[in-house]
Amino acid sequence: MSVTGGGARTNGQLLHEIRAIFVEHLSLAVESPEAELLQSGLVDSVTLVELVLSLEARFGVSLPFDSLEIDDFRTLNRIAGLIERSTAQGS
Amino acid sequence: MTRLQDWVARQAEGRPDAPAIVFGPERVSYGALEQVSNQLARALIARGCRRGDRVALLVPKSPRAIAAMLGVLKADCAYTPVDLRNPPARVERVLEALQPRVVVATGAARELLAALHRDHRLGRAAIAWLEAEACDLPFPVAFTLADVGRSEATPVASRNGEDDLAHILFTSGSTGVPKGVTITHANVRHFVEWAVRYFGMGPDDRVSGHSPLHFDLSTFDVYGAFAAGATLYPVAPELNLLPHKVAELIRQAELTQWFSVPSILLHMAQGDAVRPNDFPALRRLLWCGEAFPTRGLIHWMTRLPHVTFTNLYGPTEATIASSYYRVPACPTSDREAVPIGTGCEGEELLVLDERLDPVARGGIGDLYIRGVGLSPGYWCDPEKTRAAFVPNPHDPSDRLYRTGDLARVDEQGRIVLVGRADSQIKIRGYRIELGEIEAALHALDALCESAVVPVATDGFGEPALACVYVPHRGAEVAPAALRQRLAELLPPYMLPTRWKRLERLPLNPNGKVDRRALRDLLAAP
Repeated sequence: MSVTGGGARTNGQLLHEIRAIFVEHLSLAVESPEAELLQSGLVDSVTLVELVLSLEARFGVSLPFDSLEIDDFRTLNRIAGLIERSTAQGS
Repeated sequence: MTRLQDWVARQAEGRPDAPAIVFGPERVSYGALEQVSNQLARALIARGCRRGDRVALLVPKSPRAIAAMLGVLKADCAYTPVDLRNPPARVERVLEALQPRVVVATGAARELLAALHRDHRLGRAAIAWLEAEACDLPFPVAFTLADVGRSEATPVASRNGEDDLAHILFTSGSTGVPKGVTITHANVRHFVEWAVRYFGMGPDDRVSGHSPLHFDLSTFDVYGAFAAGATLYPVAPELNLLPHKVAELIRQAELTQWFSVPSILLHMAQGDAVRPNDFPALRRLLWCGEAFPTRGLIHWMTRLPHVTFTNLYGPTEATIASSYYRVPACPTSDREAVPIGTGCEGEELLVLDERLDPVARGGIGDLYIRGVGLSPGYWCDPEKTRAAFVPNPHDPSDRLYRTGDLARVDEQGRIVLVGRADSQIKIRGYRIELGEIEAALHALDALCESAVVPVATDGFGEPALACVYVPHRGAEVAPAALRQRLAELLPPYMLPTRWKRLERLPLNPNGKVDRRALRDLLAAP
């Protein structure tokens, strides 16, 4: 179903693209795939909405708000996992 | 005389097993809360805390943090909850102003404390480590949770009175230095006693604790619940990220009262997290901190016809809230402004001109507050105190607080806010002085000029912070790098989310930065 899904990407590419979304759309430089994003306040309720919209647009996945878990957004690695799962479900 | 800790003592005596706080799986009875806070008070006194001393709390929102607040009060001291998301540089400024005798902390503050200790920024403050383990800490601790547990749990003979300071809350300051607003026990008691009576709060209430503890609104969450003998449900800050999780909490805990800034309510409306006739146990919804855009209010009121909706208004300097307006019926148009209403008991709101004379009904003037909620002033800052708290020209023994808000009185005698007289703005309920952000930007050597303006966003009307900047000639400056450097100086909610590079800033005929032109520029696609 999805034409731009993350399936064809390696995990490294996926992380690279998610990191780029943080820089381009949220003006946030995330230092490592395991850097804590939530407790540090790097991502708040407003940036999370923008992040989800950007992820949907970039990866062609659907991320309905009521299906999301806070843990999915703790680190770049967790976000990559969320995209991989969503791509698998959508294809 | 009632001091804030007395409410808990009364409940502990009459209903020791009643739940005081429920936080996730954690359930703390009034009896247990009383005992732990007694023990902590004894540990603080043993460490040298005396009446009038300050204690900084570096503890995330939790039953432990609330027990620490009570323990500090029982030791006759005043507390300051510190936002752990603040960069060390800002915490350092708060501690420098406060000169606390003790810093109470838990594991979440480990990195922050390590940085402050390494840079010798803790002064003479001892660290109370509210964790059982204190192995391998990069700083010395005066006592731990285990020591607290060994202290006697019987009541402490507190000597503090109603006019003693209960807490000092720091807000954004226009010159770049946060201001400490001092609040007495009496300030809080007056509002809380009125609110418990007006809203009919009682032991069967289950109230939200949505606001962070360093934020004025939380004072009512905590002490309103304890004065009523109700149960407080602190909301973990992370829950705010996902609106349906907040809705789930209200449903599952069967909350009867919700009190917050409007932004989370708007966020829930945008995320379509509220169903028709949702939250059957909810009786009342209160908001404070900023205007609730009418479109958002209509969204909520049409879905929850069984709930009463009340707008509370008041700056930290006048303690929690000074006026109230119970919305009688769902507004019929987005353009209908919701008034801030009339003064709470013991409070008066006045719309005055520059000579401090009343403005004729309907006319716009500066909004002043007088009455029982007025703070004694800013911590160790007589100059700022004199500027904001002015003598009442009609009664020299009385004081007026100048809010900085512009207002008018409508035909029904209710106050309606119309804007600000200065550059303070509200984002998600946080008071933000644009000057504080600009002072931080000016400290970055890569920039030649910069300014920060609030800009409208899509949806329900929450503004975003936009920064326009002019780099030094030849300097390469990326927004992400600027934001990162700014994050070392400011808390996350003060960081601009939109950035625009310009060759120079537009100026108005007076030679000042033309903020209106900047806003137009940023609004353009």
